[in-house]
Amino acid sequence: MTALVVARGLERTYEVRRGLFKERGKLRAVGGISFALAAGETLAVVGESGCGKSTLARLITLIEKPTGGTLALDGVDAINPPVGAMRRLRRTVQLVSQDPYGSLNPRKKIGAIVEDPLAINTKLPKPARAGQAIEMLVKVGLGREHYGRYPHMFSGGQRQRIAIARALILRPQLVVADEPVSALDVSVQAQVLNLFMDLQQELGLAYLFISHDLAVVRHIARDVLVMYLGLAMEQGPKQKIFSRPLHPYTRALLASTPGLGRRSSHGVPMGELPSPLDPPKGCVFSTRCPHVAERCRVERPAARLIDGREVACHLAEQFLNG
Amino acid sequence: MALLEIENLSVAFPSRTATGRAVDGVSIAVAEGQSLGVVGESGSGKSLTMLAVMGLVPYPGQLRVDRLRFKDRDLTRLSGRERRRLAGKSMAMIFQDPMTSLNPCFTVGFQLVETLRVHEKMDRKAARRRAIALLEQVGIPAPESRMGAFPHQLSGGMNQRVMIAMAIACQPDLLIADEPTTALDVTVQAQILELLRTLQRDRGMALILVSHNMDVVAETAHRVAVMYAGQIVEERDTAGLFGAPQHPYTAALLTARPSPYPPLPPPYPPPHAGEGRGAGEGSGGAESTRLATIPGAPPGLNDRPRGCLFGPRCAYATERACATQPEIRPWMDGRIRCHYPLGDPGRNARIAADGLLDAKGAP
Repeated sequence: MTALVVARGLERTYEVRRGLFKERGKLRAVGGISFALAAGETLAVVGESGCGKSTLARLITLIEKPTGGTLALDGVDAINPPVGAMRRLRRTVQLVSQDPYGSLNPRKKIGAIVEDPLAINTKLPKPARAGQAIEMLVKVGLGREHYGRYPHMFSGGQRQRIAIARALILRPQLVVADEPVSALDVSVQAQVLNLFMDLQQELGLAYLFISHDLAVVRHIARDVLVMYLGLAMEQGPKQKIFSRPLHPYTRALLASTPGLGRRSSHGVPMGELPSPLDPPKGCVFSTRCPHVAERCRVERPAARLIDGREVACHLAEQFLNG
Repeated sequence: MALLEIENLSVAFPSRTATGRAVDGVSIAVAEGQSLGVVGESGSGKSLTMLAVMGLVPYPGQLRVDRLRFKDRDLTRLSGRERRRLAGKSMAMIFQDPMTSLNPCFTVGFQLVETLRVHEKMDRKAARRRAIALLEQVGIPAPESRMGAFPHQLSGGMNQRVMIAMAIACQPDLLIADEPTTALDVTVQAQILELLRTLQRDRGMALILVSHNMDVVAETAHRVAVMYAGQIVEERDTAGLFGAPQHPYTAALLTARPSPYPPLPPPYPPPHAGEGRGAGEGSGGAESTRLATIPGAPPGLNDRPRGCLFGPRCAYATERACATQPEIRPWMDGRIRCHYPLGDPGRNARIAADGLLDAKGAP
């Protein structure tokens, strides 16, 4: 069985003007990411801001074309799709974005917002669309009375439910969720996370779940992809990665996540993310890594399979025993 | 003698139809060198309480307070001029978003030097020397060259460090940090929290840390106050509060949060069966799929319920709780605002006697 999403060496570079007479810089937002995601499963992408997670989301949702690599959705080449297939491909992937205040048009009623994808992609008559929209609103935990209201009448959690309803109305197979709960309060966050998990079970959805919050990722994901400066540092099943992280960056992320009495202040990396316009030679994490060796500064480590997950670190073996 | 004493502080926002109390009867005492965490969801009044302490309540907010003393001076009696002399010097505040709190038109060096010149009456040279030392102290590499940088040239973490440098420039006795790390990445957040802890410990400075993140507060504060709908519902020692929460809201918040570590068994049995879809504990493993949730959403400013403000969402609400608001009272090693604290041995009997209401769903 082929996976729903197969990405191989996905790349996206942007050209950036640095100044009038300077050469244009190349910014590699995503620098060769590979993964496979099967139907009904969840891959979580974690990393700090600027690591390329949102660019990856834009590539997978076909909003932007990658500058390198291949991407297949449901067995179909999504970068150069066969004639007429693009429309169908777009329907299989939908996006839920971070900010539930910015993603809903304030001048449209909820009904119109949720129905819009149907109006664009299908020839269904209006009453049928309305029927489906109401059904979907109920499914995400809202009521039919919300159909005629405006976005400002809803709280953040309810708005995120509306965004989810809009994403699901075309019956996609893959939902790309870009930080869907980071703008929500803890008690509401739990409700929305539960909704994501219920819908996955009910509809067999695959999620590409992007988050910077390791606690949320650990809760919802099956597989984890840790990104840093556009590259995958460590990827594999979440049990492996959370119980015994092998990349110093993963270890640093875990050490930095606050929790009562669990934090050891060593292992928290120094400094901040280097400029993606001028990434370090050798390993991209070498400028902040507490275990950095001479080799790391000159040679970029390739991903290797160790203990059931892929790690891009020269020194990964030394962490195998704790 | 407490450094900061607040008794019965309220901030009201009058509108044509009603007067919503965004902060409702908050009392806080912070001793010298102590650190207090204030947690709550958005709209719980935690930031507004701190703005009130600094004298920065936005128009048309109306401040009412029985007692507001800092270093034994009555803040309510001070003139605006005296108050301003105090704010920024003896008590300083760090705001959530460093990018918007710094003035984009001036270099960070200028803004830092200005603080020193105004409050400490330093001359230009001394202030500059001190500013560089401060930047170094908060962990900014190459501080001399950063003096001439504008805020947009620095990252969020660097700007937050500049804010902290400004706040500690005049050796304050009290530092109020309002969501200091919310806008930052986890690795930088860890660095900033470590910096705040070190400063607090080394200088014997009192620290009030306001955050929506329970975990951030847990590892930084000695005591924690939990706010809900403008009121403090529980205030206790950190280890006690996180180990055995006494207010149903605190307990629910703690279980609603997915943990990056294997979950600990809940200290009290989960809410009664009528709660339905929530409460996925029991399995003890990391694989429990559902998070415990609190039904509904926090009440808005002008639709506060009668009785206990948490009543409509509480798994233990009784008719009595929904009719009369519980007063805040001493409990264990702190205070609580609840008719039936979780650690009360007689609570089941009293809940039964008062008549448990059926769990209500979300409005």
